[in-house]
Amino acid sequence: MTVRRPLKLNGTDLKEMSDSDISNIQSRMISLYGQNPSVTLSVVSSGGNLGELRDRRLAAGSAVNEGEAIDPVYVKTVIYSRISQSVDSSAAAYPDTDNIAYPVYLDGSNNIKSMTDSDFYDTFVEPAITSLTSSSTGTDQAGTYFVSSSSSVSNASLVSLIPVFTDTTADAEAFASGPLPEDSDQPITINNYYLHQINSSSASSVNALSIDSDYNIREYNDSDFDNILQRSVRYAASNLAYNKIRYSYFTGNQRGTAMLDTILDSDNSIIREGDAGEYDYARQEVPAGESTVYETYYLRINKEV
Amino acid sequence: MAIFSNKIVEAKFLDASNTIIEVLYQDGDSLISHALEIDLENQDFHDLMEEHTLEDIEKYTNSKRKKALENYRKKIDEEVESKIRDSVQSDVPMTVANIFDELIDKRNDMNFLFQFKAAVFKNKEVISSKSEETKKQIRKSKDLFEVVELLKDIM
Repeated sequence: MTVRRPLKLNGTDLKEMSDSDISNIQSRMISLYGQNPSVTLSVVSSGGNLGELRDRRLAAGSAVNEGEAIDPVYVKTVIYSRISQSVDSSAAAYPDTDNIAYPVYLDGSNNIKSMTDSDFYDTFVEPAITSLTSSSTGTDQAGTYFVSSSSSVSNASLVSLIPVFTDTTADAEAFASGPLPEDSDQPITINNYYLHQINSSSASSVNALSIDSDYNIREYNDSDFDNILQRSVRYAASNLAYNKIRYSYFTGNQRGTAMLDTILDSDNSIIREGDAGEYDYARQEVPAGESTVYETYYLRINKEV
Repeated sequence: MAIFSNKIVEAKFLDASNTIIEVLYQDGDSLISHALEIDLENQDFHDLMEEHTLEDIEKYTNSKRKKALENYRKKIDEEVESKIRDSVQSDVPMTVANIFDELIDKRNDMNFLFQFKAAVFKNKEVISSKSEETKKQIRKSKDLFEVVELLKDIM
């Protein structure tokens, strides 16, 4: 790994960039990624390729006549598979056919040399990708995603009003009283979870210098430098080994709220008894008590090999 | 034919404005949630309409919501009665200063907040309000002052 300290213009002189200059360029790269990310998530009706989340809730057993064996409560499971990940496989590295496309730096003998693509990735891209894939959800993660139980989060855009996961439990109150037999499935929604994308905010930095086709040193203009920054980070996020941005429910840093699958404890279920229409005297086991967390899910982001 | 065709267990609206439908369908032993927006250009939507009309879905959704609301009110009433039974009359004089101090002190007291919300949801203006989103925010709030601020949208 070779991190370089590129040169910049200081008036009409050349000067090595400060740590702050380099950090500002990394932030500018992140901002540009946020404007056009190469790894995106969308909310689909079902069958999303990120995998399945399961919402479990208790349902009542069937009502039985007096003397018959109790039909126990059972777990009803609904599968949510609503997030799909897309990787822009056409995102390509910035071309460097003459080996002078990337910014220049001073080597140990005070010669001005162009960075290699690998120098450029080590200096700017890798730190930017590390920041993009952290568990934070601020400006330095522009264009990446997180989950919230709210449908409105500042500095982020709701991807879809369709929740990516809904946690329900049996409504113990509904089962507690009223005529028998009870409907077996009487859910109550505890939380909906929504997918958000972090907005990009503008970030400025100095422009680096490069060697042009006549082998003169020149400063990149804003547009050219934006282009090299954006293409490089987009390529790295989709295709560059050890820098690929990928989402999953299992590996990587947690992104946003934990998605809880809560359920009433079946050990707390009660047997209700009483007169009921088609039964002389019905008995029915129904859910009751307080809820517990059955499973906790996170959307996760990972810097993949 | 949509992925859920002839396998639908339930179809109901997901959102308060009735624009998103959740179809639960049986796939082998699994119950799958499939969400779709009302979109006349979406073939899945037309396939759903062949089995369930929008009127069917609205009726079903309303019956579910009504029952949930009744259960919620019943729960609130029971809790309130229980709290009233258990409550101990305060011997602190009800002065403005004392009320202010008490509100500051109880701002995030979940027990007090619960009783406060119970009183809010017994208010006729709140009961008749159509601002479901605001009511939801009130239910979820953990801050007395936020509840009061939200009430401005209703009262």
